[in-house]
Amino acid sequence: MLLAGRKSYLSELGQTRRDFRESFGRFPLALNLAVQDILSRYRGSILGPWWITIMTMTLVLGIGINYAALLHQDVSKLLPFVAIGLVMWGFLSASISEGGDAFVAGGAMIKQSAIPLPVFILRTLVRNAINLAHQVVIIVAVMLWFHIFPGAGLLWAVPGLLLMIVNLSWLGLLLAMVSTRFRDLPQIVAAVLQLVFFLSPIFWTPTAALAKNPMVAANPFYFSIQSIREPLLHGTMPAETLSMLAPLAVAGWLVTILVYNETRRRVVHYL
Amino acid sequence: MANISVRDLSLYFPIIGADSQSLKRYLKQVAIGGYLGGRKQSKRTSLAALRHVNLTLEPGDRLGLVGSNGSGKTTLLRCLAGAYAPDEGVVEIDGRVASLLDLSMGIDSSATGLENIRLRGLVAGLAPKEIAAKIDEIAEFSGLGPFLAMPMKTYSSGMQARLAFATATSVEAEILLMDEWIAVGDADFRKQAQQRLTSLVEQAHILVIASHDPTLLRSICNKVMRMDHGQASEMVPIDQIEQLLSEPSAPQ
Repeated sequence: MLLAGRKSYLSELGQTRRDFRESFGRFPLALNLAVQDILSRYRGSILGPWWITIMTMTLVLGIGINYAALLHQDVSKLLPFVAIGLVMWGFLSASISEGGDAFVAGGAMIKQSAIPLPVFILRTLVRNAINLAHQVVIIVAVMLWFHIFPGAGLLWAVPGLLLMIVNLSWLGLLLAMVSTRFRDLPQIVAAVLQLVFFLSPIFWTPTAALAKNPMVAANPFYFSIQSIREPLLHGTMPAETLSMLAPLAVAGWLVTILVYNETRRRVVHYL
Repeated sequence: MANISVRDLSLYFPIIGADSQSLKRYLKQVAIGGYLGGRKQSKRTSLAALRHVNLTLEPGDRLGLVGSNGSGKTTLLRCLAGAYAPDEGVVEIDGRVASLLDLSMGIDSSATGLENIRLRGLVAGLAPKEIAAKIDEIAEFSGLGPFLAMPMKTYSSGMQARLAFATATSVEAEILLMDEWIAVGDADFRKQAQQRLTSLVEQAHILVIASHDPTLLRSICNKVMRMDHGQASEMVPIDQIEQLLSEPSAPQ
């Protein structure tokens, strides 16, 4: 182990690279911490994380059936749309908001050991991925009920999900670094996420008249969900997956690595 | 071969008051700075926790750190554990480091004893396989038997300490870092713990321990160094500890 003061920008980048490489090597730790987070949160509860599934299912049925009646839409179209939308939004918004808390939650370990910082983002993502796995049941049930079989095109959802995770990981890391220094940020993020939830076509279908509205036409949250929802419902991959989400992932990671490079030494002092 | 080489190590803690840790304050500073138009350097106060510390340890060295509260002993230990990146200088460490700085690190009180052994092992840097190989030995040493299947929160504090101690000391390391000698449990366990710790110290190629107890240091260390306002004295043989402690505090 060699720790040194700042020498050159290049040597700092080398350290950053090493941090990330080591973090992947410590995946078992991230996984174990994530499992332990879920276990201790739901200890004593019979259904455990399935409660989120039940709550989401209630919401899906409530919104799907009532909005279909209110807006004179076809339940068999709206309900699957809402189901995938709400499940993926749950994963996305929890990963973002809990990402901001990742370093603060791991403070005791960060202050006393050489565990590299990205491990704690990995922990947050793994934890939310486990929660998501419990919710996939809803999507499967709804697709079976309404006989939605888009064929092999369904597999486009896999790159969609991977891209979503890549985007969530840089955003989570970035928010974790800034939130550790500025403790107001998590509250701001929570408020923004709530606004985004209501303004984005997650549980309502965008009409043709809204096609030019920025919340429909240029909304990365919406397209991130679409990159999974479209393949599952229609077996097609939306063009924006490549034209918007992939560049966003690259640009986001670039910015995050630059910020990480500047901040990695200081995070421990902000805790 | 275990080796520690610390060269000209300095570490500064930025001091951030509870209320300055807010975005509003920061933005206000930025806004005012922009308004005044000057290139005012932000006056960030910082505390020099370590100043130009030099230290070379070779296999067989058992170093005791002495010094008053706040003199930098724990900070130096945490630097050696890799938690703080130096602001200046170099910390070079060859060999596996076991840090016994905080026995409760990585312990989840709602998880069972066995789960905690696994968790703590992973935090300490063991691979899942290594933990699987050690888990029986740790369980046996803790002497907790059937209690290991119960949540840690049902343990008495002595039992918690036993488990934490058994797990923390199971890492075979070439370099051992300790903040005060650990004394846990009842009379029986204390004796066992003492033996285990002593054998660990004998196995460990290098030991660095911070303590306020000169008698203890004399019994386990062969070298001693005094910390004072973040500065380190020369490293001297342990028999000069009284002399080292009686020296007047260095000017700040």
